[in-house]
Amino acid sequence: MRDNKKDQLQGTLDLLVLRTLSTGGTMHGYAITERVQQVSREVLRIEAGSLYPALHRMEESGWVRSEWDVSDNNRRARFYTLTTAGRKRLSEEEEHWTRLAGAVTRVLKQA
Amino acid sequence: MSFINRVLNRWREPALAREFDDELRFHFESRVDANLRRGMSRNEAEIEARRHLGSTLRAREGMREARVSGIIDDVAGDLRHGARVFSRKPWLSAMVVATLSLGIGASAAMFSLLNAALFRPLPFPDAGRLVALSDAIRGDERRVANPMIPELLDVRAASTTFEAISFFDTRDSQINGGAEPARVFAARVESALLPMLGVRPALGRLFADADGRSGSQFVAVLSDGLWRRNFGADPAVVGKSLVVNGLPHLIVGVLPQDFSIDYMTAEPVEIYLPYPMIPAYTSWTAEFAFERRVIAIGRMKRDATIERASAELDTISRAVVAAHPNIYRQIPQLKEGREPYVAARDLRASIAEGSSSSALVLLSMAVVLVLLIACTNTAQFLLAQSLERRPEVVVRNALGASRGRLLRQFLLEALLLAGAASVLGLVQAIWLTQGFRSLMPSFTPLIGTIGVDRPVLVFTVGVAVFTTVVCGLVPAWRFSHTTHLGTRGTVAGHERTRHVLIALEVAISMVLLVGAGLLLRSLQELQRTQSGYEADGVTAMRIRGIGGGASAQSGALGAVYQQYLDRIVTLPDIESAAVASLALPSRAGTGFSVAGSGDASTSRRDLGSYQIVSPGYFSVLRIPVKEGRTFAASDISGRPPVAIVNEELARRAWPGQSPIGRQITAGEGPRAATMTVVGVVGNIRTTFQIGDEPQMYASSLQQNEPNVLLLIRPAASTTVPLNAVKSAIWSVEPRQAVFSIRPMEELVAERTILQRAVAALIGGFAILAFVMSITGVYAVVTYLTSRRVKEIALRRAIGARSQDVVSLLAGPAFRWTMAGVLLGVVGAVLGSGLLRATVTGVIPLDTITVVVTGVSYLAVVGCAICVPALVALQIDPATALRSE
Repeated sequence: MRDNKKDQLQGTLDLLVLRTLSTGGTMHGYAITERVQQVSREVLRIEAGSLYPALHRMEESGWVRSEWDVSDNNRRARFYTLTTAGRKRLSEEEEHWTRLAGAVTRVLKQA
Repeated sequence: MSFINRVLNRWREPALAREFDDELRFHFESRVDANLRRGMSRNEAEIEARRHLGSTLRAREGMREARVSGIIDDVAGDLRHGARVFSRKPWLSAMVVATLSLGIGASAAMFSLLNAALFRPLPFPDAGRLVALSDAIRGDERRVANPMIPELLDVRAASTTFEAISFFDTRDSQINGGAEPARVFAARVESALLPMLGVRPALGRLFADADGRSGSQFVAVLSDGLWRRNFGADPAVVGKSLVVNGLPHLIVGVLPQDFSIDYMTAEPVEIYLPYPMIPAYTSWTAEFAFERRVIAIGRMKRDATIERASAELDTISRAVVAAHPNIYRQIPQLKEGREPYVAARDLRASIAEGSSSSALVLLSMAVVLVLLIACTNTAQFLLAQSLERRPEVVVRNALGASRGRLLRQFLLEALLLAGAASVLGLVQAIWLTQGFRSLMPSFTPLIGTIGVDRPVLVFTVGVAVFTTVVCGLVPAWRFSHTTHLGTRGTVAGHERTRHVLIALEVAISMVLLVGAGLLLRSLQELQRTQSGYEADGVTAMRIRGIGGGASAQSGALGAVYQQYLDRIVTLPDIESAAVASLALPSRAGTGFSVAGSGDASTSRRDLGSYQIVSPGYFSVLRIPVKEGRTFAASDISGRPPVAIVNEELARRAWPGQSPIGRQITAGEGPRAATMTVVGVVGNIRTTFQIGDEPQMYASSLQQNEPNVLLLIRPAASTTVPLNAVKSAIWSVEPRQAVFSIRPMEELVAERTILQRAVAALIGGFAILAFVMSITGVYAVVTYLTSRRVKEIALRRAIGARSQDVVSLLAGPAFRWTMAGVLLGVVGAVLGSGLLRATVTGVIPLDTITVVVTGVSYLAVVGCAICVPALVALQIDPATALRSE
């Protein structure tokens, strides 16, 4: 049995990563953290200790695939790309998040 | 796929770790680059990047967890743990493995028998298209008879769904040329048979259509065995001559070693001869047209099904029956309005049916019961182990071990036991199958090759998995209800589980014990009933009369036999001798009719056994003559045909009147004759017969029977001088082979071989079940008692009497055992019905068998229950309370 709270947090991380990959195309891990940080106006920071296990887990689940390639700064980097299964997962996670966020907002406004 | 990848990644962890490092280093260096671009010094940039990166240890660990499954190491750890636990109790563990291996070994051996007898395909190419053809009667499908040759030829000519239809029969033959005339078992095969079975000759050729027709040269094909034994595997044997049944035959071919038609014959076939396709056999009007001795096989065309073939056979048989009404009208079983037809059945299935398949299925069921008891014992053991490890389990639970994890551990421990037991079981199965082979009647080609082969290995793996699941799930299920440290309530729950298991074990043992008891009593019953004859001391041997055959004058062979007998009885130490077509009457299968008191309308038809015997038969077997006389030397061919009947036939045919001088018509085909009854003899019971059956005897001096048994009774307390007997025979006919010399008692015993084999095996299983259940119950009660030593001490310290303590300890176990016995009686009632339906001659289940078995079983179980309780009483309360 997985812990529910952990599940939710992990879900959020997955959502951020999947979403970033869906707009940014093929990216390496560092680019993903930079992009999330930038788009969230420095609010969300993803630590490497969370990001890389999540990426590897998602690759094992078939949501992303990876390959080694040369980066802009001429270094060997691992690049991640969203798969079809990942796209489907993303839409599920998005829907789930929207529902959750809506519910929390409603509670905050009315309770 | 992902899971398998993750399992396999365990072996490429170093490569993975390098990748993780590379990925993290890239992240770090990219950050440093960015920091440098923002104007930091290299030192500052690196410090910031390191902080930004966070814990690389956590990242690596997380990635490893995502990529590598630890299940292999977990499983190995669990197995090591299990082995450690079991090695702490070596004797108990060994006992559990031993009992389980007995169950698995017996199952595997039984399966190899079942597979060989019922399922293994016949070793002919494309054997699925082979069918057996037989004559059946619509509405009475159980009765099938071998087909008639003219009938088969008509069917073959008209059929379009068959590629080939052919037939064969077997007979004793003799070959001459060796030290003494040798007897061989021959098959007479129609020319299409061997090609249809897909065999190619190893040497020479098979039979051609012309072989066997009148005027053609006599030819023979040798089996591989005969070729090696009698011809020293001579590669130039083709073209040589061999004297078969007194006539020179040209050897035209030798068959390969792996071919035989022995699946369908009574003995291994050693020599093949062409079927004589002469009018005497093949014509509807021939004297021998009625003979139903051939076995017919057809090979369906590739696109035909057995349904289509049967439909076509129906149409053809209707026409054939309509064309020959006078022949089909003679079938005694044919009641008004019933229609005979030629039936096609899958050849494999029809052979399986002949090999007592239902008895094998019954035995397999019994062996499954034994296996279940062994499983129960193992589950009990694991349960005790788990209870002992309760603190450990609770701690594991508290540390977050999931239920799935605990279930896995129990299953793995069960697998450890089942695996060890399976290996031992396979060894036992090898011995057991060898034992089966030697127990079987001398010749059983389907079973002769049993052993531990691949299907048996697969089956054993299946059984091991089954036992693992059954044995592992019980304690796992118990423990899924236990997540905190034991309270009184959960211990009681454990006790209930164990008691339910005891009840089950006891019930299963009861079923087997009652079944074994019933079989034993049935065998006793058989021995007690008057058999009506005495076989002890009598020696039987077989001879095949020379010069008989389709054209021989009836009684000619009988006269030759009488010459042998006349010489034999003059030898010293011989009391009497006789020849007979069968050693003892067979089952009633020959139709006979007797005229009522002068009025044809009251004539009766019935079935009885029919034998051809010489005058001395009744005195050799000491069958009492009740009325009239036995056959006389004057009852020869040409004189009025005479018959002797038994009392039962006389009672049924002529109630209250003397049968002497009455007319009886009996026999099929050429033997059909109206005979005058000259004597009445006592009834004979030869198999598991419930009642007496009509028996008829015709005189060997008036009939022509080439295959006979020579029965010789020596003078009191002597044995038959075999060499003198052979010389006596050879002094009349030097070419006469004498073979299959055996004590008559052996022949008699062979008739009940199925009953005795089933009784022996069920008895063995019952003993196994009995021992397993008793030790199981004893172990459980001992264990439960040992856990309550302090409680008992306390109770006794505050004044409990001994009998209170015993009833406290033994009471529940005894009550559950009683419940098990009652359940077992219900099972035994159902099981005995099955037994009676499967094995002929089993007596109905009676109260005495049930009560005696139940009471004696309860008595033994009672001891097994009370002994641990009494032992517990020996412990001094003060010592018990002070310990620990």
